[in-house]
Amino acid sequence: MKSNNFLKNNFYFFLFTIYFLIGIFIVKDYGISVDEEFHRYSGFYWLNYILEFTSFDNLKLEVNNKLMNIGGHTLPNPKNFPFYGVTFDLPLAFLETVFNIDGSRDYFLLRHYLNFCIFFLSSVFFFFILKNRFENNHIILLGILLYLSSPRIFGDSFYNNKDIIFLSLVTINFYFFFKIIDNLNYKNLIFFSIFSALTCATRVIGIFIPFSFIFMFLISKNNTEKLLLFNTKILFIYIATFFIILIFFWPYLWSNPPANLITSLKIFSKYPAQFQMLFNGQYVDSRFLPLSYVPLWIIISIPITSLSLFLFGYYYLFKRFFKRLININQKNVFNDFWRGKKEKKDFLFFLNFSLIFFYVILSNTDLYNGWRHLYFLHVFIIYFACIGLFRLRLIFKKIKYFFLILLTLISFNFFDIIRFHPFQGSYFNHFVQAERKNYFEVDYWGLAGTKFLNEIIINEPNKNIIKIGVASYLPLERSLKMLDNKNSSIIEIVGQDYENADYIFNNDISEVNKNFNTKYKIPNNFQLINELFVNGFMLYQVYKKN
Amino acid sequence: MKLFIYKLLVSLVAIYILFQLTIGLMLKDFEKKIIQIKSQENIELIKSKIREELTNGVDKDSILSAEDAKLIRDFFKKISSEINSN
Repeated sequence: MKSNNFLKNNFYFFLFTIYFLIGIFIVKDYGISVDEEFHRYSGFYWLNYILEFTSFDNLKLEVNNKLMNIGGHTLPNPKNFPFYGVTFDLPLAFLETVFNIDGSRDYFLLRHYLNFCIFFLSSVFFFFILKNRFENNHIILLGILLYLSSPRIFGDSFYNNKDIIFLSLVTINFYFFFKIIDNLNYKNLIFFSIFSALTCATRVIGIFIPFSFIFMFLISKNNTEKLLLFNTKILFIYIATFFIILIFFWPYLWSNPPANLITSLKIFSKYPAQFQMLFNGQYVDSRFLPLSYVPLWIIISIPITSLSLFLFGYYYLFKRFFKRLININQKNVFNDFWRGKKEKKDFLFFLNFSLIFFYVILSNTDLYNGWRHLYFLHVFIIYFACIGLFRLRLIFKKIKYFFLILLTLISFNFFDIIRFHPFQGSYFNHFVQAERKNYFEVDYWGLAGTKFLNEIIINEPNKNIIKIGVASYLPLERSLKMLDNKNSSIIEIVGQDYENADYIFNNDISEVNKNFNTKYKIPNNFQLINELFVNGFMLYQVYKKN
Repeated sequence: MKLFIYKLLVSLVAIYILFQLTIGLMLKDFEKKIIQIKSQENIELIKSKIREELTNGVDKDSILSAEDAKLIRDFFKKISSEINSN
């Protein structure tokens, strides 16, 4: 009996510990993603910038040395792309310098470990969000499992230094938002503004959080004359702290905060890049995405259980919002959109998700690489799924069986995580039929490059130099960083100079329309010798010279 | 006042959605077509179409019909005589 109680009381502690240990254990299985090298470069660039204001000469020298050794013809200079937030990259550059981490594999592993730790931390905060909102153990358990078991999010939590960090910070933000809704005091407010600023400094779209706070604050029925002074004070403290912390965490804003913030906002709403992407069997221009781009990506790349519950939960909240909207009148005794704090929290999620989702679709925002830029919507999707669960719980009479069925369905997500390992970032659900498996870009992160290089080295033990051509937009040379020095020195990447290549690597990621452009056309004297598939999706092909 | 603000906000959102789904979509389509015309892919497409037509022409026994050939010959003769006479 005692041990039973112990297990019950510490169940979530064990669940999170097991998840954490599994994550830490498998970090080494992942390759390097195409953006990581740039973000490392960006971290050192801004660390160097900050050190110029200080007198740490030794540190300056070391950072300068590191900075000189980063580069390559495919790597953009952060000087030309200063508008990226560095809340993750800069501390990592500092850690790398202080702890003298010199091996390329080691410093990328450090990034992966910390990336995973931050996502793990966000899952703990999400647990508290669910505990605060639902107070029902079944929903909390299923909700946290849904949050952790989305294969794409799970995979990306190891190497996606941008979108997953942003998702994690958004989740932590909502925890403090809920705290403010429950108890508006200075301590909670300061924590909330610090995390709002950190989120915005990571990705400028995080500015939706202060806007939604101010909006919610203004439409709440606490704006009586008596509280006017207190409310004004609250808003002033929040906005002032937000901007001070934002500028502090984002060195790009130091020189000219308002102008640079506006530049950053402009750039991220209309990113100055032009790609052709394979989407639903056709090449589309990243500047002119079809309306179906984001919805279709979401539909095919999140587990069907999460998707169904999310749609049900969102439908319920939409119906409630619509009903409340048409019943608004001057004499209403309740708040207009919510009746109680729980509904207020639901409204907060509903409003933010709806505005962001429809704005992104309708405003023709430039996107590429699936919907990874919108991965922060994951926390909204799972929250709505929990609302769906909450409603279903009221409909189904035999609740125990209902939760057992759902638990079984969620266990399939974990099965998919194992099946796709370590390429969970390329997960598609069963809505993608067998004949449409080559209709979408699969390994746009270039993760499989490391596996390919390792295999080619094993297959060619007697060669001093192996020349590899690349029939892909992704720079394969970045994957060399995950190999040890001895192995990486025998590989020479020759890009599209196929005449000089022994092998050609192709992963069907192209910035040009392959139907008309022959840039990545494999010459006839090369023969397909190997392919890597995960659940029927092609990750790469290897061609060898005859 | 409260009702007015809510109605205003909802109306603005509705107008934005309506605009984007109608005029916004048309403008996007128009812009896309203009950019597509001068795109590298389109230039390649036109080049390959010209090549294809030239190859087809070379493969044929005669490119011009008898009337067209006569018309062009007469036209060249006329031009040539006008150039020579001046």
